Amino acid sequence: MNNLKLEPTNKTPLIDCNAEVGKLELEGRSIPENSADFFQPVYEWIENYIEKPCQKTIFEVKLEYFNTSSSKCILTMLKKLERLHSSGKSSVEIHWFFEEDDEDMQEAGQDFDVIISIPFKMVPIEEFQRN
Amino acid sequence: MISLKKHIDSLGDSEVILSFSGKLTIDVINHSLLLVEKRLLERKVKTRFVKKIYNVLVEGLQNIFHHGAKDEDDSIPALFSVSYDSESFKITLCNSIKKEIVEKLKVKLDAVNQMDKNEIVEEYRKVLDNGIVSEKGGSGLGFLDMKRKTKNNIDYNFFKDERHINFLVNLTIETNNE
Repeated sequence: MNNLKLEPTNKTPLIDCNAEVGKLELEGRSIPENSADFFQPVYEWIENYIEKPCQKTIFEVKLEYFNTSSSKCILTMLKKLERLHSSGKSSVEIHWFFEEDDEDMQEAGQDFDVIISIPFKMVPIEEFQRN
Repeated sequence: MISLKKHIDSLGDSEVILSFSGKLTIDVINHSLLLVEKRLLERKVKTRFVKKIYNVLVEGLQNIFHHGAKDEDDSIPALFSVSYDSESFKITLCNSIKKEIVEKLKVKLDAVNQMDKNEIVEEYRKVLDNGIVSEKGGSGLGFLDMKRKTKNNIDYNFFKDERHINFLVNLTIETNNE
């Protein structure tokens, strides 16, 4: 299947979904006015990936900012991956990166961890690399 | 709409990072966000506060963009500012709204303001998990997010001018709130 790569902008994150290695990356800022439209291709990519996944799947989230409508979209992606994980076809892990002084991003990760039943790793880092 | 001059005067000795009064467009939102972030970083504000302010401002401005009442020419009149003094950062947002949603907003805001920290987190997770995004792109999380990130109640007021009902919101982020 095809990989999906969307370059980042001031309002939308880098999206890098690689079906060969089983890795999805979300990085940067996610504050579009209409998040559902923006994330639609990612939903479709995950649905296709679920058909023939790698043995292990990692979803890396390295977000600096996101608006509340993006948070609903992130949850939609996580629920699709939760379905994959519970099917036993792939072992899914979420790696949630946050800057260590950013309590809001840490709490946001904890929100998803509470809602979703997938191994969830919180990864504090000193500072994101910014372009 | 309140006059920008009156509003700035009401901020007293606070330093104004950015203020705007006029038609709210996507371009205005984009430029304002970039400017606010740049000016806060230039003033060596701690990044955790820069992020909080940026996030709360995104939520507030997109809220107005999606839900603010429009003028006859289809534009969305709005006023907003970001300012600070030695104790806190203040974000003010003002827009016109339709008369019929005043009561609904009051009920929603009062409910959010009555919740304590744990209740806010619990309610936020509940609304997040119900998964519905409105046709206008609203998530139903905006006010909960504002209270959660500012760690303060949402100070609000409704007032009439000759043409509209205006909805004024003041959000405060205390700098000693580590």
